This record gives sequence, structure tokens and C-alpha cells, in this order.
Amino acid sequence: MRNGMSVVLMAVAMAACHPRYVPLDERGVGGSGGLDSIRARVLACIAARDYDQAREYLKLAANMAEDEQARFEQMISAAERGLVPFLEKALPHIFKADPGHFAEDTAEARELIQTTVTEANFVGVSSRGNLVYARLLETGKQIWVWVREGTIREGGYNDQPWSVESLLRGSR
Amino acid sequence: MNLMDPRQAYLAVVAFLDCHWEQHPVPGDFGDFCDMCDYVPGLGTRDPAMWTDWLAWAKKVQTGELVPRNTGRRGALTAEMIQPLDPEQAYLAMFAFIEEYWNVVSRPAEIGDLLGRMRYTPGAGTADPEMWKRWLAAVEKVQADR
Repeated sequence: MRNGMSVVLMAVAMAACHPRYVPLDERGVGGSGGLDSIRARVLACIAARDYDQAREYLKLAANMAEDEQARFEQMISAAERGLVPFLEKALPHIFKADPGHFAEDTAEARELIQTTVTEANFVGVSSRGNLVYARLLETGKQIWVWVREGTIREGGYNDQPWSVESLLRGSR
Repeated sequence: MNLMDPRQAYLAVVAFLDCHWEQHPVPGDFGDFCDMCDYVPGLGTRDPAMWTDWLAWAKKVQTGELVPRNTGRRGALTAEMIQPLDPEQAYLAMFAFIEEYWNVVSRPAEIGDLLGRMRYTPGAGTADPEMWKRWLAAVEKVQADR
């Protein structure tokens, strides 16, 4: 059943990526409707691992804000490099102007978090099943990231680095 | 029961969450939240924002004024700004603290179910009476450890 659903989802994603499904009136036009369509198509192409096509769609988004375009370019590049993706619903919690978090969802902040998730930076597994990763930046800040079920659930930074024990152990 | 300073009240929150986790220790949205809330003595919460989110809601229960999230203003909150809380105030702050997180992360069902059981009506208690018992047990534990 699950495999069947995966096949259907993949087929939908691939169909969305195929050039013949791009209505001409949505190419390069203004308005949020056109942009929304492009956003959806870029995401579908990333899901289908068709990165060249994702970049082609992004080129059509002439009226997309620069920072958003940079974020999409980073998403494509991150997927191409096999970096662990973010869980979409966790993004408003991860990127916020509050202590220990990156204030804005930018390409640079995403890159810092996603490139922390490597074997070399693996700290251990938390008592609630999250894979914990951390690394020190030259600035002295410590980036920390939690991954579960193949997606980034949480991430931020400590101004003063925490020990491995502290990164893993809580109040219990 | 005695009043609790904001740190003691927060430790009671963590003890309450731990108790719920131990009933069903399966990784998921609630486990993620517990991981974020864990308190490391001398360092603070594992997600630094959880501490200031807690202070914001403790202050709201006491003064009616909420320092909004995602504005950079919560970082200025300190425990010294918050008056000691009684168990009912701390419970109401805990409920709002959990509810805010639940709303931010697209309302996961696992945490929504907990909030449904925790809902508190003054004079009538919690929707699930077991929640209030657990809360008082968490408060007693923290006060005994003091």
C-alpha cells in the first residue's frame, strides 16, 4: 500500500516537472498565482530529483524576491548534494527572532544548519529519539541540529558551546 | 503548596512533560517538544528559546501582557522580572506555553490530544482529572527537591 502510494506520488511529481505541463500563460508573468505555481513546480522537481528542470522553472520566476530566489537555489543545491531536508512544518519554529535561533529563513542560515548534518558532526541520539549533530564555527558559536525520520526537526546555535553530554542529556 | 519562582515552576513543567512521555515513550512530535524543553542545570533549556517562551507566558498570566514571539523582544526577559507563581498560575502558563508551540508547528495531533486533556476550567479543574493530579505531583517533586 505504502509502495503504491509512493509510486503515485512520484508520478505526480514527475508529471508536474514535465515541460508540457507548463501553461504558457504562467511563464514569467507577474502576480502571486504565477509565482505560487512556479514554487510548487520547483518543489515537485526537487522531490523528483530533476534539478536541471527545477533551475529552469526558477529562471521563470523573474518577479520573485531575491532572498526567496536564493533560498530556492540553496534548496536545489542542498538536495543535489544529498543534504538532509527540513521538515516543512518545523520551519516557523527553527527560523525566528528568539534566543538561540536564526532570525530569518535565509539561504545562508539553511546552509549552516544543513551542512552540520554530517557523520563527522554526529553527537549521538537524544533520549527521545532525535539524532543530534553539532559543530563549532570560527566565530565560537556552536550550531546544533536534530534529525528524525530523515528530516531536520530543530536547529539553532549556542553562543557558548555545550559539551557532548549536555547536548544529549536533559533534566532527567 | 508554596509559591514557586519561575525556574522552579519551569522544572515542574519539565517533570509534568516527562511523566506524560514515560506513559508512551515513542519518538514523535511530543518527544521533540520534550527534547526542546529539557533543562540542563547551569546552562538552561536545550532549545534556548524555550526558556524565554516560558517566561513570556508566566508574565502573561501574571500581568496580562504578552511579549510576542519572533520579535527579538523575548530575549530580554529574565526570571527576575517574574513574580513567584502559585500552582494554578504555573499550570495556566504551562498550558499556554505548550499551546503556542503547537500552533507554530502546524498543530500536531499528538500535542493537540494532550492539550485537550489538559484544558483547565477554574472551579471545575482539568478536562482529564488525571492531568491535574500529575501536575500537583510534579510541583510536589520540585518543591521536595528544593
